[in-house]
Amino acid sequence: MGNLRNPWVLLGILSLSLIPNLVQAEVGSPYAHTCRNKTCVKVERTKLRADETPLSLDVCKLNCNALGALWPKPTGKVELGQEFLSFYPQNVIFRNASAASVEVKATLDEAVKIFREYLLMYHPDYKRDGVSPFPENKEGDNIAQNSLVIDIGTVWDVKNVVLNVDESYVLSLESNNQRNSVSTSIVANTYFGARNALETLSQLIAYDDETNSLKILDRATISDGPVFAYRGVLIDTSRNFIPVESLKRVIDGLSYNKLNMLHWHITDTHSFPFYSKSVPEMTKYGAYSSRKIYSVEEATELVEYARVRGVKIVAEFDAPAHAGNGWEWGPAAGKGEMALCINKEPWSSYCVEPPCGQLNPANENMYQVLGKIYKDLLDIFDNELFHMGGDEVKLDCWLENAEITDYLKKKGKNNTQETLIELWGEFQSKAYNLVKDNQQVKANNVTAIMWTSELASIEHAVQYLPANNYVVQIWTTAQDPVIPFLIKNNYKTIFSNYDAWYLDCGFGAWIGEGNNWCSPYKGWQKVYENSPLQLLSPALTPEEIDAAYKNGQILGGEAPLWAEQVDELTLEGKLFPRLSALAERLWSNPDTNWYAAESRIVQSRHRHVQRGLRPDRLQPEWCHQNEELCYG
Amino acid sequence: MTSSNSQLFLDFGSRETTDRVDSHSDELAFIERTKSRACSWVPSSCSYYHRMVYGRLQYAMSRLNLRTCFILCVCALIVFTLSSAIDSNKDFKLPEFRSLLHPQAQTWDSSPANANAIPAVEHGLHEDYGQYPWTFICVDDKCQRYPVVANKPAAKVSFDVCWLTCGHSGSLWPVPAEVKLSRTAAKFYPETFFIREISGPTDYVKSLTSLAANLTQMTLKKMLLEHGKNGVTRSADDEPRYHSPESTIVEVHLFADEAATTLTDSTDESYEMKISSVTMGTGAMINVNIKGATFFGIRHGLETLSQLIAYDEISQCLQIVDDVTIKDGPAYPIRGLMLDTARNFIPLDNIYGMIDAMSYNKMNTLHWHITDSNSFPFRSKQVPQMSLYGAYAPNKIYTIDDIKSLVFYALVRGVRIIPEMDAPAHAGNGWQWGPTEGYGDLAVCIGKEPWRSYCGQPPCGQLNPMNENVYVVLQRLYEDLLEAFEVDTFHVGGDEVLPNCWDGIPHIKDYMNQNKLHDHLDLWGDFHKKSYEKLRAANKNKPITAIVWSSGLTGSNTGKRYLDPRNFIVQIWETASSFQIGELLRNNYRLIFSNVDAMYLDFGQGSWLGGEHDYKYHNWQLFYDNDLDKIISRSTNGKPQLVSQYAKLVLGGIATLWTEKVNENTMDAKLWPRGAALAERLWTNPKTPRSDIVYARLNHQTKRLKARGVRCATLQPFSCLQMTGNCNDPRNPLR
Repeated sequence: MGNLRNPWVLLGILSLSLIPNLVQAEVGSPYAHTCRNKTCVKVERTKLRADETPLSLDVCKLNCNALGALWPKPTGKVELGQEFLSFYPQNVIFRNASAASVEVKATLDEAVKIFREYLLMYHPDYKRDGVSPFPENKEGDNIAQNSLVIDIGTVWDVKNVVLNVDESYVLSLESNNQRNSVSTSIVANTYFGARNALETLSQLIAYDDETNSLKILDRATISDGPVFAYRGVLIDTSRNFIPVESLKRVIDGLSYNKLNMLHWHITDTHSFPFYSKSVPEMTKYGAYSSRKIYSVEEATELVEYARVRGVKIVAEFDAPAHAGNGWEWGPAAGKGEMALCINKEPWSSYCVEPPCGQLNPANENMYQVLGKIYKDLLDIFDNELFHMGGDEVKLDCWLENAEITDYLKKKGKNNTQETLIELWGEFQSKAYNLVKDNQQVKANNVTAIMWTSELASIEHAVQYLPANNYVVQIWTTAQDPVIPFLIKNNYKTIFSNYDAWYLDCGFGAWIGEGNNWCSPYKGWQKVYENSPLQLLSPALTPEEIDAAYKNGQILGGEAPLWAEQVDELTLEGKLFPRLSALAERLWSNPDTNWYAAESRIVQSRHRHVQRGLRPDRLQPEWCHQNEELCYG
Repeated sequence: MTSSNSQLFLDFGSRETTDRVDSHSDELAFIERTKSRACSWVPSSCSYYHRMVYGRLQYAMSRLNLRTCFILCVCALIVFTLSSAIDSNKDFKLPEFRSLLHPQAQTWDSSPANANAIPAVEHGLHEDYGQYPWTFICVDDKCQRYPVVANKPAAKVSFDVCWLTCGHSGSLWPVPAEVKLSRTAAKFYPETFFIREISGPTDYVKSLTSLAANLTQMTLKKMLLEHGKNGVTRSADDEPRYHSPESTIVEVHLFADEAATTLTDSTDESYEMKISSVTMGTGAMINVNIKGATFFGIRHGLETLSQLIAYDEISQCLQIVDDVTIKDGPAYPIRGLMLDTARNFIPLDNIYGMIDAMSYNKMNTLHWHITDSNSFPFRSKQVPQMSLYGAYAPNKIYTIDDIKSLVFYALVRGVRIIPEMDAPAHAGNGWQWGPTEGYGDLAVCIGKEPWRSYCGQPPCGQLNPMNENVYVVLQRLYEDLLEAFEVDTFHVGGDEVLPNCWDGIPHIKDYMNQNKLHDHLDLWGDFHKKSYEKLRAANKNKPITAIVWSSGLTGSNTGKRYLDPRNFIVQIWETASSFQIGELLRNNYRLIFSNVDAMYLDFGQGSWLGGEHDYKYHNWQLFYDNDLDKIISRSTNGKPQLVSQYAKLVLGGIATLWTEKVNENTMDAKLWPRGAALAERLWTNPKTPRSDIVYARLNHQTKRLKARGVRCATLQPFSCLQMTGNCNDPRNPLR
């Protein structure tokens, strides 16, 4: 008891025990919520009508309008019951779970575990320690008699998120005759559909502070599946390092919104945090510090963490531009300059943003190293989709370089802008073959994703990037003529047009004066209303758009968060709740505008908070409590 | 096992010469000589035991409300006062770690700030800093990354240590008025950093000073613990190594002149500091003397001291600049931030954190916009109906005791809190209970629609100036607020009054005629005159200064009749070019600047109200460049002789964080580092053009704030910090 020698501690203990907790003893609010005309209104309890029961805001939201608190809104039938059943989380019974394989069953068990914790998280006193703050079952407590019974049936043996994997499900809730149990049936072809159903189920449940229990709808039928196959976010860990724990939280957030792709822009010219087993020099020279590194184990664990939550991690290794720091050890190791213009100044002559760096396509050793890095990445990450970058090559970096000039001369060419495009094309085709050579199952056809660029342009795309091998990710504006061109030429596309979906815009410039280049900030309304199908017209006819969609050419979209001005401290606030807006666009492709979604996204944001994320606020809390009154 | 400082001191054995580095060109040789002598810090049993105590107390407190915190503070004061009374003639000494307990102090165990600390990772290859192939050298007043010379792998300087002595003022933020730094630093352990002497005119001053000094000690320990969590420092169970021959002792002497312990517009916050070192055996004795005009000066000096110390990743111990002369004081007496807790509730923990961060930047004023028409989170003792009806939830409130403990916490950190209860507009929710309790309509147009006709933003609400009960309730609220805040300056709001709302009050015209009020400005002015009388009465008729926002009233001749410049300060939220500024200066009003074109922290984050209200983001340069001297010289109508006369009326600036779209998750990122940019403007008031060195220094200050637990925004990729020259745009150069 050495602590007691300290008079401070004694004082502390005394005062802790003597002072009553007055704040919590405060009388409750004179207000409650009730549902009137499909709106949750805040009224004084004394002014409630005889047929109205006081509800907590969260419970009121569950079924006050046709879509309740569901986000993203389901694409099939939605029927929500009008009554509630109160229950405690310990009385949730997973009765049957059918799965086609042991592995799927094991994953399902994980999903159930996650679901169970969501229920605890709804309680405001939950401490994230696994200990339930709800009352224990006791004689005489009617709520303890109530139960929620869940049956899950999955059909196919699918273990990984793949493009166009069946993510649909049918969820139905029904209460028994004694009205003391709700049974839930989840039917889905794949695990991923079942996981989505559990997410939806969790959105039919809310904490009720009037009874200190959870409430669930007594009845519901929801059938649901996504409109777009690719629904993602880009996280950049090169401009600034982001710890693995934060990446996990991002994946949690994706899963709340049924987003299914995490595009990991893992390296860039700024730093090289990916630990390559076969080329450890990359992180030694390229990491910001010896602690700002992702180990093989961490990356592998993250892939599994994401898979359980219905998310695929698509790794990007950007090349030949956006590669510099990490590549500087070549000369000392006798491999020559593997990258050129590293950190060269004035940077604006040699690259699009500092620090400069571009791989040296004239150096065979570079290709050897590149192949090893690809192998290390493909051993860990997805083998279906692999992002090869390919953006913002600045030919000026190669133009004046003697090594490049010699290399071209040997082929009988001069060093000009046009021969350099060819050289870039040559690099790309070699790199693509390296990816193919190094994927785990050689027979599979890995699909490469490339950014829109001078290579993926109207002039050069068909020549250098065969549509069978490449998906093109569009980052230019919605008006870029290359978009209809790509569709007409059979390319598959992912939309990330910066005028609506760049989440890093709208802050101070990180180089030079003024605000950053893609300002202003893209508010959630803008994110919500950016529709890939709509922005194809009028360049394409409605029939052409429809055909392209049915043809699988419009895979979906992705919101990038470039990390020049982001680290783990600000990541979540910039991502959420705007990713929710993106999610509804891509899952549901709503034909209504943002205004119709406002009160639902505010409620969905609140659920993110309950689950421990750190989303930004969209409005004063008054607007949350007084739905529909913060109109413009 | 040693368990107290004095014992530790007595036990201290041989000391080595501190190696000196006379210039950066000698650094390689210096590091060669010292490479085998990296000191690995180990927490002492003493600090470990305190950590356990802290952990338990913090845990208990996190489960209780902050009322407890206040009680502990009071207990602390009693203990200090008693102990200083017993031996007031001797040096004022306190056991290590006796500082205020509060949620943000729990940095040792499970603070939220550490929750995201990078976990230790075993890569098997280069987890050891020794493998890091880069070193940092001060070139052109910025620390830049260079490859380690191949045959001298140990010739390395870490980033933070390089910055300590780089350029004119190293990594000090804000830049002191006068500063001279040596190019040398000495290694030491936090265990051998002693507050040796505290002298001051009163025991209370000494108590406050020792609390502030202990915070500095905690900051030093935290520098190491942060890294310890990352697997660099050795485990807590290792044997203490006080006897390590390379150690150096740092002794701090603190002297306060005046007895003032409340911060006002005329408080002298200046200080002088001298660091010198004497070789002793194989170590050194570093002497730090800080002489402050008041406690506040010493506190700022201690902040400066903590910025002259850095954690060295290479030797794994601390380094301190060993020869320093500083003479420093602020350009303006009000250097503040405004926080709105009515649009969205901000938990107390986060306000504590905000005060911490302000103190790291020598900002001294937290303007707390505590209520608005949206919600009323202040729990008044006399009028509990206000928060009952007006708080977002029963637990989203601030009690008088919560506030008292916050106010004391802020005082120790050199910050005063000025409360604002906005009136007569921006008041609605919370005031609904009048009719049911027989007080009549205390506020009108509460939640009235369409809102655009009755207020600046929803929900509407404006106090009812013809209901005498309003003034009765106001006085009770003022009494409670003054009890909580104990201030000589109180913000009464006074912005965005809409006549339409008052027009709807029955018999308002009769009332105006009876009281000889000609128009709405008279009605509005009359409200302020009456409510000021109540404020003064609430202050037991002692003098009190009121702050009002600039408005149609302050911009009118009517305003002058109701707002006596001896009693009212005007806070400008118009643009810097507003005609009102000159008008008010001519009429002798004291001004605080929150000009909407450079000081709004909430702008540019999308709209919360339909498709509107999306203003341009204010980047840090706008805050930094908001030179108040330039604003007033524009207002002199070509009479430069007025500048010095007007300058006396300018008290400083307050950047505003309105919280329509802000909550505890994102407030730090919106406040910092832009708040730091403003801090240097108001403390140092630099007159030389802003160069890219400012950017590099601000990046470093941002890094420091993050290390101390502030969830700061990031201005640039980390590569721009490491390779400072690289992040300028030649096509769009920094001004």
